[in-house]
Amino acid sequence: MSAGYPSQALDQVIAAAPKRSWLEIFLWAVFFLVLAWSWQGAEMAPLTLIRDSENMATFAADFFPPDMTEWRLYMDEMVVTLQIALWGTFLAIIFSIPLGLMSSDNIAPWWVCQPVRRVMDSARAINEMVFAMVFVVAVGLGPFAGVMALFIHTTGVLAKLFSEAVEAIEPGPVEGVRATGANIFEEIIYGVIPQVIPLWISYSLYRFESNVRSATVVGMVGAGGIGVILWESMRGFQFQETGAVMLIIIISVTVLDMTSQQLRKRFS
Amino acid sequence: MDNAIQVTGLTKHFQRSNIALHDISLRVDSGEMVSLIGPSGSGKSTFLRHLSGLTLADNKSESNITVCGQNIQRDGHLNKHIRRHRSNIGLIFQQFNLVRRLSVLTNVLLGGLSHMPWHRSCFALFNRDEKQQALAALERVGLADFAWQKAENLSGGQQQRVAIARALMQKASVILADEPIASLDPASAKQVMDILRDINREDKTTVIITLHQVDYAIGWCDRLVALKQGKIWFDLPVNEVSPSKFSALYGQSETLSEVPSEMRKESKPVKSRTSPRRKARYVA
Repeated sequence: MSAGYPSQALDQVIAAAPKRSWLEIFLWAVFFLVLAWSWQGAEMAPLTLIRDSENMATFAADFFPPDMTEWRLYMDEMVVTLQIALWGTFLAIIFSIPLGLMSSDNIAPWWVCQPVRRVMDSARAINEMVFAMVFVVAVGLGPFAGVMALFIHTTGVLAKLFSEAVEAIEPGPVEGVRATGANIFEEIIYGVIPQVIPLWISYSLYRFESNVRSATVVGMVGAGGIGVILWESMRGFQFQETGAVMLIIIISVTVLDMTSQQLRKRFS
Repeated sequence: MDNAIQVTGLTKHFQRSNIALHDISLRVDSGEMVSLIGPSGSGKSTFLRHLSGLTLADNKSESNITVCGQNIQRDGHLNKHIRRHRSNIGLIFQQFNLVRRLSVLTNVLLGGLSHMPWHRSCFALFNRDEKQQALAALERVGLADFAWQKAENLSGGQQQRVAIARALMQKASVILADEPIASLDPASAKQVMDILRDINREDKTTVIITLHQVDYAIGWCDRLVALKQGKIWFDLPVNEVSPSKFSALYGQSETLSEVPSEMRKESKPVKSRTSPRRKARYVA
């Protein structure tokens, strides 16, 4: 029922709906133009997928059945991979707490906040793999290079996420703590940290998940873990072994993701 | 009698709001219970925040604020030892400003931070004596049974009583309450006012309360200081104020005659507008 409104009046209201502006149409046009332009740059060739499908089927078949004879070695390396991810994330969390606070503009003065943010930006901008290659040169082949690579990159990410949480806190409780005569550290410990801790835990767990995934590939440049075996078996055309390694990675990452997701649910 | 609060020449302008204070001078004696009243935007909350050094006066003004003999700010500059001086001033907020995720007892213990050495305060190592004091403060506001609950699980009135316990823990000689009952129901409001009155009577603590509701000011305070448009409109003992004073203060719409005198303590408080969320800078 239109509750007494003449339908003409309703039509008028509908007609008064805001018109799609020219700017909006223009922006959509730009978006599609950029998509078309990037098609060229990315040399998109979906037809090859169909044309070469036979080749790919043959290649994929080489991975089966996965060759599990060396499973014990793979499991050992998978554990090393998790250990790399664990230490990389742990160190990053420890360093991100002060660095995150220092890059929050409601805690730190601009002359601390801006420089710290820029350093964190660069830590974040460069991919783990690049850091892994750098650290392989610096500290030699092996898992420690992987830990350092994950640690530097993750610190850049977590410091940013931590500071965003800090910038969104309620000012009231902090003022309440300040009014008791507390100093700046006490204000942070009692007024800020309790407000952000659930988010911080959730972000840290999420980064651990993604670091486990990253740790499986840093080995490709020699920074330890299961990636080393993955790369060697691929280069040696031992595709059945590669298949086995991939299977182990898929299972471990899935189990960890699910566990961590359950944990994160408790904190958000 | 020694004076608890001495304010001279306080002037404050804000860039983006019309609330301002113009050359305010006020003296409050130790042990007084004073209410600051006035219409919204009259500057009463702003005035109170100056007393705790949370807001600074205009820095070209020749202002001076002293609380219990300790300078808080002069000419718009905070005292160097402001944090130590603040511990002597208990501040109660309209929105309670408890740390919601911490337990009630921890919130009260925060009142004692400034008396603790830093190596204990930074790791939340409160000793038995401090915990007993905090529990005693909670007992006094009738909330000892709630000690281990999270602050966020308490009702508004209970949270405000926890905030008062925190001020008690500070052993403050002055309590400043900024619209302490504006977000509370009438029964809780009465309870909070009773507790503040009791602290004033028993401990001889100087209490200054900004209030939206004239009836509470008359019912619980000894002296009323009215602010209007950033100036002191009148400053009188409670028994000398007359309805005509209030009609002049609030305009015709809100006169005392709306509030029957015997009903004052039960009358319904008007919900006040919460202050706009500010992005506070945490470096004082």
